[in-house]
Amino acid sequence: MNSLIQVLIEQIKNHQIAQRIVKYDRRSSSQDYYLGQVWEIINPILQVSVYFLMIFMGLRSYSDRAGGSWGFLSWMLVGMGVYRFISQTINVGSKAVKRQLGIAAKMNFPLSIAPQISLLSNLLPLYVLVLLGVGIRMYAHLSVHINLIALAYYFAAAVLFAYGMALLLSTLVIIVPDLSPLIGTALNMGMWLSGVIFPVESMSPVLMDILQLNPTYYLVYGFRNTLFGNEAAFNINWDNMTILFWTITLIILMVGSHLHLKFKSQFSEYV
Amino acid sequence: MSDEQEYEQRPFRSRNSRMHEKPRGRFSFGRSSHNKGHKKPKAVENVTIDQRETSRPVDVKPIDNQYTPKFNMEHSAVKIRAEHVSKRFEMLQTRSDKLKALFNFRQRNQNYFWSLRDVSFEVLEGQTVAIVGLNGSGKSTLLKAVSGFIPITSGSLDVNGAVSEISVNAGLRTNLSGRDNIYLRMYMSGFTKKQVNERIGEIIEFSELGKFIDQPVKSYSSGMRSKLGFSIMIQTDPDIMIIDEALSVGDSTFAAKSFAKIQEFKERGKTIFFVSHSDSQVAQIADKVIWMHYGQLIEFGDTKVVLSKYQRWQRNFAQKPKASRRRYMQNAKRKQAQFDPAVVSDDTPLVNLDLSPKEQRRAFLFGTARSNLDQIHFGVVNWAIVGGLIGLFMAVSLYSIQVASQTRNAAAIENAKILKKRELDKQKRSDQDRKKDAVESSMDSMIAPSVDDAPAYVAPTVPAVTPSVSSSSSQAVVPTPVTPPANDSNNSQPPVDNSNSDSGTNSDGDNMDSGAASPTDGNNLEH
Repeated sequence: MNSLIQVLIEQIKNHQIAQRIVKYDRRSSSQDYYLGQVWEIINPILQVSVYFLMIFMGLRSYSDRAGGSWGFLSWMLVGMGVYRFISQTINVGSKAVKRQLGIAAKMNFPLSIAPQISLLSNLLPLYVLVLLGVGIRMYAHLSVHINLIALAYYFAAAVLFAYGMALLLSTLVIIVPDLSPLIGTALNMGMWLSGVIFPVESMSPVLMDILQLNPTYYLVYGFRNTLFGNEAAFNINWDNMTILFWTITLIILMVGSHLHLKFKSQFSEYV
Repeated sequence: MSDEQEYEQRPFRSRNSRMHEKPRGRFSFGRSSHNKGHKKPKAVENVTIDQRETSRPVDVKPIDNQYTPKFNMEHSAVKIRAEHVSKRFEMLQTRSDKLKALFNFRQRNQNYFWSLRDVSFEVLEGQTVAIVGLNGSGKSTLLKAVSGFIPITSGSLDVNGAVSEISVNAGLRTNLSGRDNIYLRMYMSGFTKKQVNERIGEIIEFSELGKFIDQPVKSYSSGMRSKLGFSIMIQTDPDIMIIDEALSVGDSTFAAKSFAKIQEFKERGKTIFFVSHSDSQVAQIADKVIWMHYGQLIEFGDTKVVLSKYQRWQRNFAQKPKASRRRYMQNAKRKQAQFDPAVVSDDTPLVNLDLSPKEQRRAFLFGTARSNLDQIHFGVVNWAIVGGLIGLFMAVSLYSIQVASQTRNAAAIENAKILKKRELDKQKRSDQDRKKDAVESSMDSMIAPSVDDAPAYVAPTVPAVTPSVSSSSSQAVVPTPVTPPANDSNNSQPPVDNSNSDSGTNSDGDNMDSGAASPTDGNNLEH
């Protein structure tokens, strides 16, 4: 618990530094493209379009969801925005400490903000996709509820969860490098299991019950429910899922910050 | 408390290994190894005199054969203090061996290589110290240890002040331009945008890169890279500069400029710590020289003295035949592998009295390499919290699955009932339609008779229409596609509906009303 508090204080103290670095961090990852950082937004939109065409046009199974095709598209966009934010933060953040280690050791740079930098750099696609989803819904004259308090709650939850996972995995990846390809696969899998592409309710009921324990499901559906407010299955089980989500997040944060502090001085021996 | 004042005066960033440190309680929470160096004065009641003396300043009578830190020096002046620093690398074949070594506390790995063996020195503020020695004698390891990049195995290393390290590839992002790298590194050192904008002109000018500053660093030569790195570093204004052979890359004009800058730094009281293979450079800049030789510190002293000795030795060594040189090196490497810090540092007992007997045994048996990891405990309270959370997680997840399955079962039963009812409705509606058809056909046939006969037709329709009420009540509960058939028969229904609710005396109609009001309209199906 103490290490968690220490790490969180470090985050707040060095937030300014992290924010300044984000720009250059993003730039260095998209330097080689002509379109540069625009790809960060185009890429998820393309992804959504492909899935939309595949599922809505091809399978045509969810057209009875409220709002028809526009409703389904916005539903998917918001889910994709939230899930991509989480998965990219975890994926990039888990490698961030390893990447920054060489530079960080040469100056007084707190390593625990490396995951924060990757988190901040992934915020823009989240905003864009959620706004796009809301915009499409407004264009189609479908109902949109903008409850800022609930949105802030789910946003904070997403940030804490993603940061905790990134911190935990960034330490584990240094000790066991074989984890990093596994993380990518698991995150890909997670997209299908958290109801980003098609509703979890449409799966077998037993599977749905189990998938509802998944913290990313809570976040993805939490955002959707806040904005569109028609997730009956989510609302029924909300209290249990909230407890589960925060338990998992707290465990991840505690273990992650502990391992980070414990191995911080040893990182260079494992790289 | 004089003790406490004393401690506050020593703002050392300490990377002590376990040996020189008080054992911390098992129940203490994890703390950063970087902040914990200050030995807090213990509560007097809890300790015996002997234990206290190890951590007290020198005015206490030292116990024989026990190491007492020399804390009575002017603290502010000492920038780097290394005491019996040893660094052990584990010569493991694969990464998995490394992982095994991490978790295997029983077995002692024999494949060690001591890169630093019992190195002790003190660097004062404003001094420029050069490290000389053959390749592989531990110069870079020493720099890395001072800069905090690698942890040391035993001994203690205190560094007082912000450290900035520069090497040929000084952590530049190769796909960013030189200008972006300047911003990135300055930001990482904690500068604000305004501060960087103030300094960037000077940096670019000093680096002599000109137009190349906006080119990606991957297109730079090694000289340009080290020039850029050096220019950035001098602007970050570190207390302690660490230069790893970066000065020898630039050309002579740049070297001259750098020397001038280093002189300026020295005058401002900065400490410079550098590695160089150029004796002339060393003679030009350094105040003091550390001569490293296969991990050991041969001599630490004034530049002239040590450098001339080192040069003499080098000349002698170079004159020896090749075979004997090789033998000498092999011998030295073997010694490096077999080094035992317990044997060499007589005055530093490896087994410190500060440690409990169990910890002493452990330190003796396993060395102290892993003790850094042990410093941060996952305390009992943390275990309790995590355990509680896991328990809560299990309980709630099981509970929610159970609840979900129950509600699902209930919903399934409900659904089945609704389906059944819908079928019944359909049946009744088809009955009704048939009757209505019959009525209509009879009406058609009775166009000719007078209107007075009409009530005679209403009476038979009442029981026939009642099912439509039940269908509308089922609609209210479940918004499922029962609507279309209801719409079909809309034309005739509304008036009939009214007539039905009006005729409350009908026992059948009463029953239907109560069914619609109660949530369990499955009762309706019973009859």
